[in-house]
Amino acid sequence: MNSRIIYPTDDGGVAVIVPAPECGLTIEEIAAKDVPAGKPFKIVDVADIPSDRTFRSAWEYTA
Amino acid sequence: MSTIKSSTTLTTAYQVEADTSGALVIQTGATPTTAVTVSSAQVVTLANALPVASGGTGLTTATGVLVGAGSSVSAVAAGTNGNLLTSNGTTWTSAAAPSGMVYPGSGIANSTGSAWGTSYSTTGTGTVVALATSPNFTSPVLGTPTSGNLANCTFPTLNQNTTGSAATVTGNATGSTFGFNSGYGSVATAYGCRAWVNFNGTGTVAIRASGNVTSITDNNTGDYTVNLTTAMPDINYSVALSGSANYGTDRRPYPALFSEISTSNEVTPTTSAFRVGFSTANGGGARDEKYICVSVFR
Repeated sequence: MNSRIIYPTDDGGVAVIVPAPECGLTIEEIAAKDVPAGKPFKIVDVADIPSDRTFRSAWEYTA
Repeated sequence: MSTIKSSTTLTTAYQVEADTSGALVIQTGATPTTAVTVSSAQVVTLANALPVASGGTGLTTATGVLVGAGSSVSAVAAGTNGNLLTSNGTTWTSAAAPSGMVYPGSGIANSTGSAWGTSYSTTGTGTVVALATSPNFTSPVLGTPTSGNLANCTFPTLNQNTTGSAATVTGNATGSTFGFNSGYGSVATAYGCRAWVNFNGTGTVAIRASGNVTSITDNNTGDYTVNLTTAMPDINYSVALSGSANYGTDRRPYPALFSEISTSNEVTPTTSAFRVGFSTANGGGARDEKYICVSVFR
C-alpha cells in the first residue's frame, strides 16, 4: 500500500499512519478507524513523506 | 333296474344292472368288478381316483393346498406357522414359513445395495457408533457433539473455510479453552498470540508483515502506536516488544511500553491500540529502530 495518512498531533507535530498490507481494509477505512476522533487528516502518497528522519520531531502538518 | 356287466363271455362289452337298493353299478373286466356306482341319491362313486389326465387329481384324500406337477397333483398340508410356496420356474415347492420376522444384525441396517453390510449400533440418544474398529469417514460432518473424545485420530489440515475466514477451534463448554501437549509434558491451555507486527521504523517507515493489525502510527522518532484490527476484550493484554541493536554499546534499544517516548509520559493502552517507544540505553534520547517486532497475548 503506497499511501499514508497524516494528521496533526497535540504538540504541533505530525503523525503518520502506516497501513498494514494484510489488514484487508482500504486506506479510507483505516483512516476512519485509526485517526483519533476529531482530528483532521489527509491521505498522501508514501513518496510525500520524508525518508530522512533526522529532524522527525520538526515535521509539521499543513492542511 | 338292470346291471351293465362286462364279460369276455358276453357279446356286449359291458352290462348294466340294478341292484336291490336301486343304485346303478357299472362293472368292468373279465371278472366283472364294480368301476362306477351311481347311488339312488345320484352320488357317483369311482373305484379308483380320477387321474389328472381325466380332469381329476388322482388323490383319494386331499388336505391343504393342491399343487400340480405335470401328471400328478400333491396336497400341501397347512403348516402351523404358514407355508411359503415358491417356484423354481418349473415346479412349485412348499416349505414351512419362518417362525417370525427376519432381521439384519442388531442396530441400524447398512445396505450395500446388493446385500446387508455390517450394521451400526446405537447407544444413547441420537448417538451412532460404528461397529468397525477403524471406520473410514469421508468428508464427515460431525455436527456439534457435546461430549466424548476423538482418540488416536489423524486429523487433516485445518484449512480456511470456503469464505476465507480462519478455521475456528473452540474450547470445551466449561472453560472455553484450547489445549495441547506437543512436548510440554501434559495437555495445558494454549494462550494465543492475538496480534503481531514486524515493521521498519527507519527511513520510510513500513510494515513488513502483520496479523490483526490495521496500521502503525509513526508519532515521532522512536515513537509508534500499534492499531489493532480486532480489539482485545480488555486492556489487560500482554505485549512482547523487541527492537534491533546497532552501532555499538550505546545504541542498544531501550524499549518502552505504553509510553510516549519523547516525553516519557505513560500512555494508557486501549483495547484497540497501544503505544511503544525506543531510546538508547544510556539515556541518549529517542531513536528509530530498523527491526521492530511486537506481539500481543491475551
